[in-house]
Amino acid sequence: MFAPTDFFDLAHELSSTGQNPVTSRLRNARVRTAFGRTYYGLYLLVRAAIAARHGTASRCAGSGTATSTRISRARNCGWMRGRLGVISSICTNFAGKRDYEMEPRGVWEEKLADSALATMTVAEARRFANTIPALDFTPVVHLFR
Amino acid sequence: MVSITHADIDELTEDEVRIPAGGRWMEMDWECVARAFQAASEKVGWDADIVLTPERQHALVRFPRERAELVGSTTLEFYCEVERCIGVEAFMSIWIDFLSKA
Repeated sequence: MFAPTDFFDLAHELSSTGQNPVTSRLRNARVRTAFGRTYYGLYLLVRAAIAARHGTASRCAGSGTATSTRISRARNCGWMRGRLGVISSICTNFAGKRDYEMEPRGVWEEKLADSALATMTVAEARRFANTIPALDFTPVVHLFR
Repeated sequence: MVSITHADIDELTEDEVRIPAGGRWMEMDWECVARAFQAASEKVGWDADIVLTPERQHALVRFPRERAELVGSTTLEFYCEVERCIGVEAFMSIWIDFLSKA
């Protein structure tokens, strides 16, 4: 069975090598991929926790844009905004940019090339993942049905 | 170090968010907000440069590259400290962005 936390390990590896001058040609691709894998690792962990606790089908939330939309909507719940800055920052800041924007402007150009930011995001996701068992997902369960 | 800059809200670009989704526009004492961010940053040891832009209810946290892991693993503590100082409504109305220092 695939462990979503493996995505964190991969993302960390990608963001770390993104700081290496030898691999700088692919730095932006590594950073973008690191953001993406971090997001999906976190998403899969949250989805699995909700499925285990509330009996939702683990696959019904779909993937890609659908997952982004669901979690972006979930962040509007008070508890999500107040405590889960991880998801909101990963989704809102990067979804739609990391995969689709070829000519990011302004702060986005900087973000999508910032390997330290990717490293920070992975660490933030790992920390957040440890809090999942203590979280009450009741307000967002319907988004995953 | 925390600083406050001011911006013309008419100059917002299409990618900028004036008010976080689900948040609301609210008057705040930004000197108080600055003190809260400063205290929180010191508490978690980030050594970050933080720029507050009241007109956008926005905070940009620039952290040292070598502290990326520390920053990522202590954001919850940082958020809690800011929230404790300024209140949950104000905290939830501020959009917090991160970038590493150049």
